[in-house]
Amino acid sequence: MHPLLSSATAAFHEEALETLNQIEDWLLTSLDSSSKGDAHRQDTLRLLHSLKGTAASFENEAIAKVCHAIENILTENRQLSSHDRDGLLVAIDFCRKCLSGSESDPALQDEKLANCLAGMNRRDKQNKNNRKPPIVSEMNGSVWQIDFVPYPQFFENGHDPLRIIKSLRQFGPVKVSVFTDKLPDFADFDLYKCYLRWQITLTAEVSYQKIISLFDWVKHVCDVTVEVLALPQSKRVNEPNRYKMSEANLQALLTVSHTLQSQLKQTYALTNQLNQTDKIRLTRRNQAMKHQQQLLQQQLLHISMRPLADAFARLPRMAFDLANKTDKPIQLNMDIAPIEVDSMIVNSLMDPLTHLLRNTFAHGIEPTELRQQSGKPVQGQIHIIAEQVDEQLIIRFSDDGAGLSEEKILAKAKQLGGNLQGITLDQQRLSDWVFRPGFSTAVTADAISGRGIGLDVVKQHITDMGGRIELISSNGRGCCFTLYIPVHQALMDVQLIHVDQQTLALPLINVLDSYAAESSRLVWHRGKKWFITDDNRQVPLIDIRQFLQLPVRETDEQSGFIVLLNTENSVFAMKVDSLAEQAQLLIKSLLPHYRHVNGVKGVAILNEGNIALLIDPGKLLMSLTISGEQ
Amino acid sequence: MKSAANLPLENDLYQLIVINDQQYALPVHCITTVLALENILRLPGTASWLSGVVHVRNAIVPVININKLIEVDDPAYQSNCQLLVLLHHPLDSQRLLGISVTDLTILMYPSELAEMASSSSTHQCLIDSVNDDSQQIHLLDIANLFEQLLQGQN
Repeated sequence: MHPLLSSATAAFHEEALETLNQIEDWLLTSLDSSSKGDAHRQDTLRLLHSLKGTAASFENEAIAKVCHAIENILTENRQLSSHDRDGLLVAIDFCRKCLSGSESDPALQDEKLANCLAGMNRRDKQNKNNRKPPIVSEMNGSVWQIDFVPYPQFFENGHDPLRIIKSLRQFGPVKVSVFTDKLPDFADFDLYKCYLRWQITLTAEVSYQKIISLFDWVKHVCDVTVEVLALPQSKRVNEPNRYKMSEANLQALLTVSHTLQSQLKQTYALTNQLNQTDKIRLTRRNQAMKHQQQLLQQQLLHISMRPLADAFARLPRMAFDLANKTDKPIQLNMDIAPIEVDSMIVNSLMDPLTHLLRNTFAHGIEPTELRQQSGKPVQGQIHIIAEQVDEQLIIRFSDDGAGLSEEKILAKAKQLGGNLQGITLDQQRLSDWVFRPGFSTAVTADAISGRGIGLDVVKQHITDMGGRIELISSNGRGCCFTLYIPVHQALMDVQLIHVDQQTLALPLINVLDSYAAESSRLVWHRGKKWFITDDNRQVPLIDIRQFLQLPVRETDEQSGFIVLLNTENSVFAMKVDSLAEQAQLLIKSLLPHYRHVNGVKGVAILNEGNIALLIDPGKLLMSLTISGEQ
Repeated sequence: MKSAANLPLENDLYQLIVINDQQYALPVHCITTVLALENILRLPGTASWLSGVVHVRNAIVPVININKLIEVDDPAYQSNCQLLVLLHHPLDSQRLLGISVTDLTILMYPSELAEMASSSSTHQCLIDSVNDDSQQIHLLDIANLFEQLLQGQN
């Protein structure tokens, strides 16, 4: 195959798999969640349509046909039943197999395609009599097209189309086209009849309901159609990237950006050798290039980040399939912090999470009869909570299943040569055994478990990331795996401040308020300086200059600003020279290249490429208290 | 302590660097790049030998003043190094540190260093010290420098 064609096919495969994942995601949530409305269905249809076209152009007729069949179902069945969903998921799996090339026998593939299409058609026919009207009330958009067609008698009750069109302007700019094709000849013109219709394009992030409510008074004398032309910004940014970049490419681009920055500085130094006019010209160009370089740098730094939720994206489908396969109904509850972390962490988490989920089905969640006998709800519960605490990502993966069986683990451990005569295993020893390579209490190996490589892999991946894993089990009540993973970079909202020409960043979440410094609000009490807050509380005023080891300076109490900060259990004030902007910045940890520094949470990458200390208010207060400052 | 005479006689070269008149030898295979030393951020409460950190190659890299680390210079001495030599760990190319230097001079083979008279050196971050005419050249133990960053005294 020609290299260009080969790379185009690879790109098609990658994009097609991504599209299938998105469609699957929509299918899995469409029945449970009422928040995903018609706009999501439209998105899915667009994705399908585009995949159908691309598949056909790559001569992948099977995928094109399946997409066409799914399109038919989604277009005609407004409410999908769980049977529809099963059929569509089977169809998606079929497409994935086509892409992976795992079915080499064309005859067998044709047969599977025919079965897949027949299955969908059957379900489609069953549901045709149960069609429901479209749900449009949940739609949200940022660009809307409104077709407003008044009936001829529109003016009879004194309605004014112009007033309605004007009222749309309250939401945002409108572009109005008027259609005069129904206008009669002048001789036939009736002054009391409406012959015009309008098409209005409204650019505003507004709900369907708000738009349609403007037509409430006239809906009996006109036809109104409201359609979304573009989704709101928040939804567009969540759409996955079509472009991929390897870590090596990113590093190469960052190096280019740094080199560019360095060369620009050297070029600037040369401007002193020029005459005044040329110097001004070159300085301007240099500044413009520097600005562009800074933008490039910022964009590149953000590329290396990825939503944490991406690591968990495949779990709902896996849980759905495993529940069907094992006949163990479960409810998967995920609470994933909406943060972006290093792509490397997201990629490395996918495998361990998969193994944990399979392990939960194999050893945790009991069969339905056993759950009923022990008085548990039939539906097993799996909870996954992921959040960032300081410089750690903490993932708690728990279930309400049987918990670890000490008896089985002891028996298996003895089988593997462990000298455990008369020993009772505590939590730590239980963990030690279950994470050992090749350890499994399953009697036989099946598709889900028994090979003893699951938890071993989990531990290996987490250890490779510099993290650790803890396991707490309660017999008959379930178990909880807690994963601790160091986070070396994250995006954070910060307040920038200046102290003695130095820029510092404070986590915005800790900033309560800020005030211009006033001597009347500063008091000396018990040998320390205190600040009086708006609600008349005295809070300690810490000396950030001392923490930064800056030379002692006689300062005017009336100059500068006071920033009020809260920590987990206290409030304190800090005097700074000036306040700068609030921004969302990339924060990098001092680890792994250096160790933790007391009072410093990390380093903030400023927009101009410089760096600033990110203060940890809690640790700062503690360190100054210990050192006797406060 | 290893001796200069026992340095591996492979083809790897040593780069001689100068920090305020003191010469050091760095194994070339550990050098990632050489940059202008700029935008250094001082970390409060850290040792005087840690000049601060810089943002290089998408990482926050600590910068060491070797003269202060091995106590050639007084902790209060204000050095005037303009260059940053970025080094990676001999066994892990992802781990980085920077050394602030005044200048880079010549490249030397291990055999050339081994021919020089060895003199005693006591610091754990030095493999050995050799005498080149009247000048002393310290051979840096790169792995140990990395250990200092993670576990050394403040």
